[in-house]
Order: sequence, then C-alpha cells, then structure tokens
Amino acid sequence: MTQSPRKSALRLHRELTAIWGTPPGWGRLQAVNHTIIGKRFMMTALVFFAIGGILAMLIRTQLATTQSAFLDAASYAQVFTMHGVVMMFLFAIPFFEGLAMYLLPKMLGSRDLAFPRMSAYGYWCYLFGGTFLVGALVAGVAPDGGWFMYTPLSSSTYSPGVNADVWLLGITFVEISALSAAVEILVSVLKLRAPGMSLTRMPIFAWYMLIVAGMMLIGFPPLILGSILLEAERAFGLPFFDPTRGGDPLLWQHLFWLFGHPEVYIIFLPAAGALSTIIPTLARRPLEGYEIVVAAVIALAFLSFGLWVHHMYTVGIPHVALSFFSAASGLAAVPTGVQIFAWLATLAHGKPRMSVPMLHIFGFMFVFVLGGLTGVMLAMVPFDWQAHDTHFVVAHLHYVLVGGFVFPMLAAAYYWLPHIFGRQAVQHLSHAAFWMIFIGFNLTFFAMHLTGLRGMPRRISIYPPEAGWETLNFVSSMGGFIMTTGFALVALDLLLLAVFGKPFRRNPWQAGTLEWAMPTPPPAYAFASLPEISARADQLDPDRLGPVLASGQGYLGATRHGWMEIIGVDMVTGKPEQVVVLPKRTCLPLLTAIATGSFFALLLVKLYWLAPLALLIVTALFLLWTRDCGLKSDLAALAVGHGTDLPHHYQTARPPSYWAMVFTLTADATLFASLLFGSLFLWLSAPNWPPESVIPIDATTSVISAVALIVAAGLGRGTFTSRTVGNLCIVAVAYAVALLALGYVLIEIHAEATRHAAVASIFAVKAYAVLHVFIGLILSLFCLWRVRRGYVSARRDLDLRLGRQWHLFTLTTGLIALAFPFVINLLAGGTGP
Amino acid sequence: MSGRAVFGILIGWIGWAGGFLLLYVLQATGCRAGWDGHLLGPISALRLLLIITTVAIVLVLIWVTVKANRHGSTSSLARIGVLANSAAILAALCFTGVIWLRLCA
Amino acid sequence: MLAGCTGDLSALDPAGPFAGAIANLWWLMLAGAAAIFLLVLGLFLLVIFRPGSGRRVSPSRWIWMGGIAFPLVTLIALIGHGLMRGEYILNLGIGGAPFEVEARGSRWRWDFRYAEGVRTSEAILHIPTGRTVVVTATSDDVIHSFWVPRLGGKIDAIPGHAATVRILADRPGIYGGICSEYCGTGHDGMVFEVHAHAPEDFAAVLAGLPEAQEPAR
Repeated sequence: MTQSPRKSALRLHRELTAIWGTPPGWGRLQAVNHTIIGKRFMMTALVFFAIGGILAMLIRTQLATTQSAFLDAASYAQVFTMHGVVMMFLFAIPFFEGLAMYLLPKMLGSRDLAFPRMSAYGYWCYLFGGTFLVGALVAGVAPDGGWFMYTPLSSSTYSPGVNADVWLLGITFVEISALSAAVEILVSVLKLRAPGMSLTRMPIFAWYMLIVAGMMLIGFPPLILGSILLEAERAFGLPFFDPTRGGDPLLWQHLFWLFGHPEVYIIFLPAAGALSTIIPTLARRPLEGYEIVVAAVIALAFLSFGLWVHHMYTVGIPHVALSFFSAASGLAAVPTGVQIFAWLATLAHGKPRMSVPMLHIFGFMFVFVLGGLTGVMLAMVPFDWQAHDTHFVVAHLHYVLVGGFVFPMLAAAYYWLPHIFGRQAVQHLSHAAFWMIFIGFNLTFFAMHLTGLRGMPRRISIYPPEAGWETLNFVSSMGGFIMTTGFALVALDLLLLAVFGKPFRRNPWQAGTLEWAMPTPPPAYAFASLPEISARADQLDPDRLGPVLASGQGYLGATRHGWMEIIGVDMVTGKPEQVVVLPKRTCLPLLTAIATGSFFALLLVKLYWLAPLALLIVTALFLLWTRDCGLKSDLAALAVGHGTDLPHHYQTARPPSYWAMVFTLTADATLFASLLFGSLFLWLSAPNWPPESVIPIDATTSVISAVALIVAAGLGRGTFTSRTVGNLCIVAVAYAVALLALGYVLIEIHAEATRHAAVASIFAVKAYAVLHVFIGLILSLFCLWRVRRGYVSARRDLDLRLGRQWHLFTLTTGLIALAFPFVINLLAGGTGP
Repeated sequence: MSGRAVFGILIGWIGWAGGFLLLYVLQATGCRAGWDGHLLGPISALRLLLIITTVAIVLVLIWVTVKANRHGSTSSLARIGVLANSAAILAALCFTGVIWLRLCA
Repeated sequence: MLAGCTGDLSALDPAGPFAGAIANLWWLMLAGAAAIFLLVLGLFLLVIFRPGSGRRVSPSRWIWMGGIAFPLVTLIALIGHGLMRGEYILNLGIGGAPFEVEARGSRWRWDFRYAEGVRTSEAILHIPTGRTVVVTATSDDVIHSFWVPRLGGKIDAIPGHAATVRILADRPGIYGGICSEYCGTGHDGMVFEVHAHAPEDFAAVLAGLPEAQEPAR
C-alpha cells in the first residue's frame, strides 16, 4: 500500500479493463457493454435517419411540381410509407434508447445497465429488423399502406403481396428491442444507482427516462397485439378487422393509436430530458422547479394515453366521447408549458452562455412551440374535421417531432460528443449548418400549413395545376433541399470534431452531473470506483470527484474473482443493499437474435410449419444464457469498501431480475387487457354481430385446464424445502395437462375461428393462455434443472420466486381466458342488434 | 415500503386513467344499449349515469390524494406526489363534457 | 393575404355556415397562437440576450404563472369554445328537414344516392342551397374520406360503418371534393364535385338523375 494514488489508479484501470473491456476484432460481436451498445444504437439510428432523409427528398421531388412523373403512385406509396416507418421506428426510438443506454449508468454513478446481454440482444434485433425493412424497400416490396397501415387497405384482400407482412413482422421484431430496453431502463434507474442517490437526488434525465420507459412498457403492447392480430388475419384468416365477418377496421385504429400517440411523447420526453440537463449547465444554474418538472412529466405521461382518439375525430365517434380526448389533448399543453417555463426560469436566473448547443435550443424553442400551438388547434374537434389528413397535419407533426426531437438531439450531440470522443468541437461549420437546417425546415413546413388548409390531402402523389398548390409545394421542396444540405454539413462537422477536435482535460461544459467525473472517451467500466452521493446529482463537482473515484477511493474500488460488480440500492432511498454481479460478454445475444430473426423470416416466406422450430431454438438459446447466472453455494456478505458489507444479489429478496419479471409481466398484462378490450370493442362496434353460428364452448376442457392451472400455481412455490423437487414435478405435469386440454380446444375451434371475429377472439385469448402455459412448463422444468445442479438453496431461491410470479400470472390470465368464451356468449346472445 | 412510495406519486393519475377508461366504456355501452333514449325527467339515463360516474371519479381522486399524503410527509418525493395527484384531480376537467354534449351519434 | 386562401378546395374560403364556423375558429386560434408564440419566443430571446432581465420574477412565479396559470385559463376557454362550436355544427339545421344523401366510396370513385326521389349519381353530388345536407358516408372496400372543404368538415367512409357529416352551400355553384384518406394507388384521382342548385331548380335536377337500384342508407 505504498503506491502513489496515480500508480494505484493505473493498476486499477488495467484490472478493470481486463474484466469489463471488449476484445477487438471478432470479439466485438460479444460486446454487451452499455457504452458500446449505446453508441451502436445511435450510429445505426443515424444511418436510418439518412435513409429516411433520402426518402423524404424523393417525396419532395415528386411534389415540387404538378403532374410530376418522377415516381409512379405505387413507388410513391412505398416511399412515403417507409419514410414514416424509418423515421419513427428505426430512427427516433432507437436513437434515444442508445443515448439513454450510453448515459444512464454514467449519470447514475454505476458501471453498466442491469441486463447488458439484453441490451445487446435488443440491438441485434433492431439491426436485423431494420435491415429487413430497408431490404424490402430495395427489393421493391416495402410496405405501402402508410406508416399506420390502416385496415382493410393492409388486409390480404387489398394488399395481397408481402409488403404489409414486411411491416407487421419487421416492426414487431424491432419492437422487441424497444420493450427490452424499457425493462432494462426501468430496472437500471430504479435499482442501479450510486449509494446515497435517492430518487429525488437523481439527475433529471434519469427521471425522464424512468417515466418514458414506463410509458413504453404500457404503450408498445397494444401495437404488438395489433400487429399479431393483423398478421393472424392475413396469414390464417382470423377476421379481427374484416367487417364482413364480425371484425372492425376501427379496432386497428384504436390499437395503433393507443400506441401511436403515447409514442409521440415517448420520443419527445427523452429529448426534453436532455434539454433539462443541458440548459442548466449552459445557464450555470441548477434546474429550477425540479419537483414540479417531475410532476409535470408524470402528468404528461398519463395524459398522453388519454388522447389517442384525436387521430380518429372523423370516424363518427359521438361528440361527448371526443370531448374527453379533445380536452386531454389540450390539457397536455400545460405540463409541456411547465417544462418550457422551468427552462426559461433557469435561463432567466442563470448566466446563459451562447454556444452551439444553445443555438439548437433556440431552434427547438422556435419550432417546437409552433408545433405545440398547431397541436392545440388540431385538438379542437371542429378544426380537425377540416385539417385532418391534410398537409396541415404533416406540417404539425414535423414541427413537433423535428422541434421536439431533432433539434434537442442536435444540441445533445454537440453537448455530449466531447464525452464520446474525448475531443471538443472546432466550430467551423456548426453555425452555417444550424442556420441551413433551421431556415430549410421552416421553409419546408411552414408553407405546408397553408397547403393543407387550401385542401391538399396527405399522401397524394400528383395534383392538378388548377388546385393552386404548386407555388407552396415548390417552396417546401426547395426548403427541404436546403435542410438536407444542412444535415450533411452537420454530419461533416461532427466527423471533423471526432477526428480533428482538440482534446480536453475534463468536464468541458463545467457540468454538475456524474458522467463528466470519468476519463473521456469513457473506459469500459465507466467508474473505477463508485461515488457516495449526498446532494442532488446534477449539482456535483466532477472535477474534484473524478480523480478521487479514479484512484479507487469510492465503493467497489478493487476487483474480486474477475467479477463485473456494481451496487444495487433501495429504489427510493438509494441505500446500498446488494452487490449485483453482471454476466460476462458473450456471442449468445447475437445468436439468439439470429434465431429470432429466422422465426420472423420463416413467417414472412410463409413456412409456418418450420416457424415453431425457430421458436424452440430461441427458447433453447435463452436457456443457455442462464449458464453463468447464479451461485452454487451460499456466500457471506461481500465487502464493498467504506466499511460496508453487502450480500450477493442472488441472495437478496429483490434483485434486478425480480423487478424485471414484475415489469415484463406488467407489459404482458397490458397486452392481455388490450386483447380483452379489443374483443369487447368488437361486440360494441363491429358490424355483423352476433355471429350466426353458435359460439363453441367446451366446459369439460375448461374445468380440466382450470384445475391444472390451480394445481400448478398452488405447488409452484417460491421457497426451497425438501418437497420442492416433488412439487415442481407435479407443476410440470399439471402444465402439460393444461397444455393438452387448451391445445385440443384450439384445434377444435380453429376452423370456426376464420368465420367470425367472435370465435377468432376466443381463439386469440386461448392461444395467449397456451403460450403462457407452455412457458410455465419450461420454467418449472428449468427450476427442476437448477435445483438438481445445486443453484438453489433456502438462501438462493430466486429461480423459484421468478417461477412463482409466472405461475400466479398464468393462473390469473388463464382463468380469465377460460371464462372468456362464456362472457362472449352472454354478450353476443344477450344484446345482439 | 419502497414500492408504496413510488406508487404514491402515481396513484392519482392511475385513478384518472381508470376513470377515463370507465367513462369511455360506459358511454359506448350505453349508446349501444340505447340508454340515451331512456329519459329520466329532463335528462337521459345514460347522461345521469355518466355524471354520477364523473362525480364518483373526482371523489375517489380526492380521497386517494388525501390518503396518499395522510402523514403530511415533507420529503421531496411526497411533494412531487402532492403536485402530481393534484394535477390528476384537475385533469378530471376532461370529463365535464358529459354534462352537456351529444351522447351518441 | 386572403387572396392566397382561395381555391376550389380551400377550407379558408368557406361557402356555407359549417365551413364558415370552422374557418372562424381557425382565424381566432391563429391570432391567439401568434400572440403566444411571440410571447414565449420573446421571453426566450430576452433571457438569453439580456441576462438578468428576468431575475426580478422569482423562478416559481415564472413556472406557476407562465407554465400553469396562463395556459390553463387559455386552454379551458379554448376547449370550451371548440366544443360549443362542435355542438353547434352537429345540431345546426337550416331550411327545414335536412336533405339526406349517402356517399359511397369505392376504389376509386364516389357514388351518391339520394333519399328523396330514390335517385343516384356518380362523381357529382347535387344538393340544394340553403338547406342542411346530411351526408352518410360508407365504403365498399377500404377506408375513404368524404371531404368538401368549402362546405364543411370531412367524414371517413369506413366499410361496415355509416357515419354522417353536415354540409351546406349558401350559393349555387360547383365545389370541389376529394378523398382525404389514403386508399391505394388511385387515391390521387378520387375527386368529385358538389353542384349546389337553388331550391327552385333542384327538384328538376334531381328528377333528371337515374333511379337508384336500392334506397340510400
């Protein structure tokens, strides 16, 4: 212990790098580190942004003149559909996911996210799914029904080709990464923070991402459900959306927008979180109104789920129902206003300095406020009756998304790129690039408001000269080309920064957040030791803290068994409660994503009999992930420094994976609830109800399945005793019985299910139960195997408790699924028109 | 206790969302069943039902807000909870259309 | 500026009370939005370029006044006004019993059926002036949207559903109509015209149309 601090810091750096680092070359395929995965997400998203931008240029070229012959109607349909799909699903969401993955552990004073392999898996799913969609565009079979894919246009009758399947399968594939990122972010923010960082000491960005991740958890399942149902209609003829067979096109609209509107806020809020971080730094003053901003973001999150029908004002919904959505849409401006005025208050009371990020913040203010104002206009029902589906809406949504996401992200890029590359901007092109984007954008889209009010609908490829839209469209197109040049300049500028930027010592912006208390570019392990936080974590002093942490004076400032260790805290108080040991880098996420991709590819080429095999391979691969999880013997508490001893996470009541299961089941329950409400909606709204034929009900199999599920949940206990092995065997047998009984019902009703949506919804609900019973069976066998291999003891019963959660969930949803046909029968029989 | 503290800052809005869904379902079901044509004095049965439901939602929201902050905690998290829950009560304004707007198409 | 708002399909060039009510709402909101935009952007530029100028107002006052009180009052007033105007449009009946028409969209044409006289027409909708016309929109295939910007709002034509919109023309004339929901490659050309006739001429126009095979919905 006679080494100088500098020497010991170097030694620690070498040891930690050996443990946390990713080897070069082929080893990069094993990467699970949040810095690498975050950068990959952002880089890939930028490539898709460029592709989406090129598609936008094709649109603007087509519309620049009347009667343009540049693209035919069919190609134009693919171009505008893919522009929307790429920008929403392949650029905006993955980009902020990448930013969050990169920043969160660093801002929270941790070393990585809770499930590094899941982030890697999510990335590969996103990359493959996105490539799949863009590949379809190159092959000329891209989706062409608009990015929201309204049925029946996207049903097999009117889109017989593979185009719509590409959308449904590709997007669902990509959404796997969104859902896994949501669970990952929730658990990481709630559990993996620096000791002492209570919820209300978190940097504001973490609050934003926590809430956004919660929204993703509830918002994405309806879309995934809708995609599954529509694909089931297209592939197997289950008529959920076909009005001639008791389905309803409006069901798709409800499911899509129930996702689609929160989606807009899911995209805006991370950007707002970045602004709430950057503005205080540039104003040299902590964010004003921290608490009210958090409350406002919570309010916005919930309000955003109460306004999806404002995309559906023209479908004939009664005025009183529209009023709920209209008022919620309007009121959403209040929490947005709270944030804007919190930023203004921070700037007013600070000493703002002009810089390139500030320029983009000006761009944000100008553009986003206009977009918000037109949003309030569109929330007014009568005005929307005119403006809906015109270029006014196109203008509005670009003002909101470019203003609310692209400008803040440009500010964020100039703010955090020095962190990523360890170099500062040279600033030759930055200003010119900004003004080109800003002027080009406003030329393009300001004119478009008027084009829309003068009657130009969305998505038309040619318009007659006498319509009087040509001048406005020409202005829009010219503006679009100026904006594109601006983006090209930004790309060049950032490239120059990465290559020729001047290195800096530490914390170039004089920020008060933890991500600057580390060397830049950041090492794989982020912090050589973890800080103790005793103040709000946006008012720290990285310049003082950085060297202290680097020399190992914080928590976990030494290595042990080559473990990747971080600290898990109490989610509210931030009191340290466990040592979380992360799994090592591996190729498994990549292999599992390839297997998952082959499942979707098989569905696309309609090899339905082979697809279950791919699913089995996916399941087997996921089981392989668990090989290096867990402990084979009980451990004593581990010293983490500062005289603190903490248990290994495997021996605690609430480790990260426990919460991951809670959140996954929450998303799962949302999907199930959407399915039940969807069926109820069909009864309420769909034509051709009730079905002419009798709805099949099989009491015997229902009773057998119910008993089996009750037995499984009753014996699938969460504690380890001498009877555990016997119980688990019975659980597995019970699930097998339930699987057979429910599978039999599915086979019985599958033909009837193609004749009417009532039976189709029963089929869907039962199929949901079958899937859960199947996973329950796998989990019980998995627990048996873990017990046999010695991973489970009275103190190490996590596997059993995760199983217990699943069994109880399966019992609840299973019993509802079993009662469901009786309810449908009652409804359809009782009050048919 | 941890989960409960987090829940306390969301409870108002969870109630609002539940109330929103309940009103929307009741309104649609009522229109399908024809309750809007069933007059009870000056107003229809459906309107009366929706108004009563709205009042009940507001009362429940006020009740959970008061209950969530019963201990008068002054922690930062508790203050966020009071702000968020109060906002949820205010957002019940969204439902006032049930008093006077057209109920069914 | 107003000249820039005219056009065969311009919602800002209303030719009847329904479109007029909405156009008025637009001008009102435009004025309000312009004022709010200038206010917020002005405040932003002020605090950036005149550091310290906003310091007299406490931070919580900034947030509570600017972020809560002001938008809340403005929005409640606007939402109430918008709903009142919607109710007005949904209930307004002019010129006695409304004239009922069914508009049936199919790829890619519009067919119209008239309840009075059991007549039908294609691509041209004939209506009397000065009388509320209730259009019931429906579809044979995918979703379309019936829209005559100068006479009123739009309504989606959804297979299996029948939703209504009210339109009215004050003066005889020809008004443009267009499908505004994307319905496939022929979407561009799915236009139609509304011919509004003075009430005294209208009976003859209607009688001259071919008879419908089945009655309007």
